[in-house]
Amino acid sequence: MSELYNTDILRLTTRIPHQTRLEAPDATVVKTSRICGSRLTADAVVQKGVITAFGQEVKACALGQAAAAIVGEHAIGLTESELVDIADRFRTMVKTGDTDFPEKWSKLTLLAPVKDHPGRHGSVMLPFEVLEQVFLDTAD
Amino acid sequence: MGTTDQISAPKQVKANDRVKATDREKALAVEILQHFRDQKYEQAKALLAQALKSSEHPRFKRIQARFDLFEGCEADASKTIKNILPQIWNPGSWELALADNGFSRARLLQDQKILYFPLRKCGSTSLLNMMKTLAGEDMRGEHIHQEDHKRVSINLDKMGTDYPGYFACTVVRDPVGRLMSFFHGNIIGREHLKQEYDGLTEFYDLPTKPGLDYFLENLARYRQVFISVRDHTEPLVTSIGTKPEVFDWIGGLSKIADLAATLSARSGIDLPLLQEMESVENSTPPQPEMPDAVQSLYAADHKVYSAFF
Repeated sequence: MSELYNTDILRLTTRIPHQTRLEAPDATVVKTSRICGSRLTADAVVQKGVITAFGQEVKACALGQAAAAIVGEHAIGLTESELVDIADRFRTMVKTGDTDFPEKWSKLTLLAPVKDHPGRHGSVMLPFEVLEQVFLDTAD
Repeated sequence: MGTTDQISAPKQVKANDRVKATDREKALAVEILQHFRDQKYEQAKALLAQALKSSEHPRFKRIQARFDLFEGCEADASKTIKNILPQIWNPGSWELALADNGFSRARLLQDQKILYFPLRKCGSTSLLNMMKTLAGEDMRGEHIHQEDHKRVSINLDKMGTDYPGYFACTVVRDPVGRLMSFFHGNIIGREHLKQEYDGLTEFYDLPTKPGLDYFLENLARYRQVFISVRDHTEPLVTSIGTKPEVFDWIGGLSKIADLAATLSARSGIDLPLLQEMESVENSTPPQPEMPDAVQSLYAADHKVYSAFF
């Protein structure tokens, strides 16, 4: 489906998991897209390099919400190496439209049409950027 | 009686400042909005893009802002509304809130020098009907809200100098109480969202009669998709600013009788306290714990206005 605001994307905006902030996170990261003003705040507990608890507040456009919904689904249990791998694939998709994800992350292909909308790139990247920062902040 | 809503107040948009839409522009705007209502958003958006290539009419810019909101791009919507606000007739609460320019809308009674700033779910039906009584007009009950165009835009910071001697009043309410009243009274009781969209049970994948937990969890999205939700759930601070001291009278719902007495004394007209709202709205259902996003939305209201709730 080439439509950007298709039913699947819109549905995801109401499926954002982990919307309760954590009381005692190891890291709290806030990132704002300079282009559109979307903002994502994330709390995480990281144990032995694995995210074991996650909370997020998403003040973003529909596409940012959809990205946060997909990434949030897999936040618990996520390792830095898996995140880096998926974030790289996602960046490639956003720039070129090429999709290459393992089955677990296949929903990210729904966001492929964003390639033609550069103003939205910053927003869809936010969930990855906050998690990259979480791992940086909690690195030994 | 001579009280009138038509005044030469400062900062008002005069009818002749607005650009009239051509029949073609009007028809095109209707077609775009119909696509949106039919949940064919991409078609609506494409048609709007086409319209904007040939017309700069504010009507299309308003729709652009509406669509920016639908996409969740509040900053873009705000920018658009700020640019066209002086050309908009009867801006909605959501548009004023997005413009964030220090203006609020008030019902003005020139003879009695009264300015009442109505806020949704804060007894505004009763108060607006009282204003009608003071103006010597027939009351309208719930239909009073169809007279939004009778309000004037007020620069809150300059109210003292623009309207010297006026009695500026407003009624506020705990945001959670407002939200619950809107949910139980409007969305569930009167099925507002369902009625608004021709009986649909879902609109862009959002149930028009959702469960409370679902509604609260997805309030941000409901506010982006349904303008009526946005209008009824705007934080107080985005509607009447952050300076309660600019008002001569401000109080909670329980103080409406006091306000009515004050207005009676000021005008010399008896004001029966009206109960326009249905009982379902007046009941106080148990208030669930609000999700973080809802608490965050209303944090400033609590900070600025909680003393009056």
